[in-house]
Amino acid sequence: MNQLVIGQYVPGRSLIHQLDPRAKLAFVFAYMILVFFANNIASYGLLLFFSACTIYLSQIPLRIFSASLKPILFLILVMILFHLFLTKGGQVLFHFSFLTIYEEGVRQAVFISLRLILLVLTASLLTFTTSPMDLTDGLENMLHPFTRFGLPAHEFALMMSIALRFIPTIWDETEKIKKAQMARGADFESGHIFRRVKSYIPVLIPLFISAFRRAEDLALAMEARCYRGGINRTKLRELHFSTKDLGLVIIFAFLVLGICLLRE
Amino acid sequence: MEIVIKNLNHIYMPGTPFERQALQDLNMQISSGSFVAILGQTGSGKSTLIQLIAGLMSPTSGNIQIGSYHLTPNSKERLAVRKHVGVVFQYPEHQLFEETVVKDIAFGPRNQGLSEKEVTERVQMAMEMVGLSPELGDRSPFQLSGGQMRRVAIAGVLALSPEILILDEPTAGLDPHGKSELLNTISKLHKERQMTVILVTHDMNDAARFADYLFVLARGTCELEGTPGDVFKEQDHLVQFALDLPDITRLINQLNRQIHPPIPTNIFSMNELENHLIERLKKVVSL
Repeated sequence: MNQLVIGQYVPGRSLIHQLDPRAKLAFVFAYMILVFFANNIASYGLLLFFSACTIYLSQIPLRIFSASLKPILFLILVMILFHLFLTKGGQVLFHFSFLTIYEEGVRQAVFISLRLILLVLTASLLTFTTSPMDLTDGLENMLHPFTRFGLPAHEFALMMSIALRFIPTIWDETEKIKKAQMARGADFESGHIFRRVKSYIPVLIPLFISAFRRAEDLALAMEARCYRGGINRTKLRELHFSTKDLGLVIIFAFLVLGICLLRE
Repeated sequence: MEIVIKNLNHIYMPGTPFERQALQDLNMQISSGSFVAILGQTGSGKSTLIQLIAGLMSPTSGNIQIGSYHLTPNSKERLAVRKHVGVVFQYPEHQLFEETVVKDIAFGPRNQGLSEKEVTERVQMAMEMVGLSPELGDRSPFQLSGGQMRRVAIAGVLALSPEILILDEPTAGLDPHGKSELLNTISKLHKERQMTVILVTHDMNDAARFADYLFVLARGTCELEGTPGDVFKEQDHLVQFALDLPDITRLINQLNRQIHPPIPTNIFSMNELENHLIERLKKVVSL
């Protein structure tokens, strides 16, 4: 693989890597909700400080985090522009013919982009520090209570882990086919958007064919090993909560308290 | 077109935890119209090397000279180089996509902007080269057998009429018969059209029989090079790179333990060995 895929696991032995995936999943979910309650400089400051600490603790290079923000840069830019020019309220900061920028617009633009950045950073931190295996194990475990209501938790987790497992494989395959067609003179870079989309047909068709072939092979291999999902399967690696995971609960309680005190 | 490679380095994903140096100060020279084989274990940098030669990636540092083109880290000549170099990747049948065999083979020539007449000519020529009968032209490539699919894919590359043909394990997954048929076809093309052929292979037998010069790659550098006769003399070296001797060389070595004077070890085909032994026998009988 020549490129870092978004959301890829970055192996490591940091404190964050060692946390239980269930604890991380629950924390990230709750934290993301908490982000929406921040509404002034102080509360955003607290969350930013916390996120910066976790990023530092994860021992993952900052460059990788900034790469994960790249895809949403355009979205942030659009949001900033919308808020700058369309949100009214507060003092007028700038006025030129039909353009008026209000104080409230600047405030919203800053806060909304901060919120997006926080959400993406938190989600990235989860996937960077948790292997896909751990993630799906954790999810299966957390969904387990719902099997009583007919939710196929195991199958769901299996589907997810297979999908995650095959992202890099299919990515590699795409690169390979792309190169093979480039060697035959295919051009993926020039021309207008419709031509460029059309130029990907020689890549997509072989890719679909190989994906189906892989799926069939995998199904056959699983059946040959007498795979049956669901009931009474045991796991090679059991998940265990530790005191570190308990720490997350306490940290979260402090964060909630902090936000409640700081927000207006 | 001659290929001269100087101090070539290639690093994948530099600056990430996944950084990996695939090629390290590689130097090689492949003369025009030769048939060379590149040998090496998995991970020795063979695939990286051929992608760089084909202009599909830019090297991290160093220089590849192909004819009058120079491929350097920021070179803009990669597109031009692709017109002269054809690459048959591993399992090339996985890149087929068109509805019919003819259309798929025509993909390359069409991209080169040739006229319909020229495209048709090229497709016919390429199908003939790889021994595909014209009736197959209107069939879907996905209905063909594995061996035929591979021929279609190779025809798709040959239709570009490249001056340099690179083949990455072209015989992987074929039966012995299909294997020797394919290599014979390639050898014929090399002789008839003076095409430079670069064969990447694990199979020492193929390398010894068809190539006139060998490069042994290990850990991203060229550790050993020379004619098959020279390279396969270095048995101790080869073992170090987890490479075998060709079957025929092993046979000759075994025979040489029993007979004197020894049989020369630069014989790589059964025919030659037979002739040599018959000659010897004649000499003995005439004495």
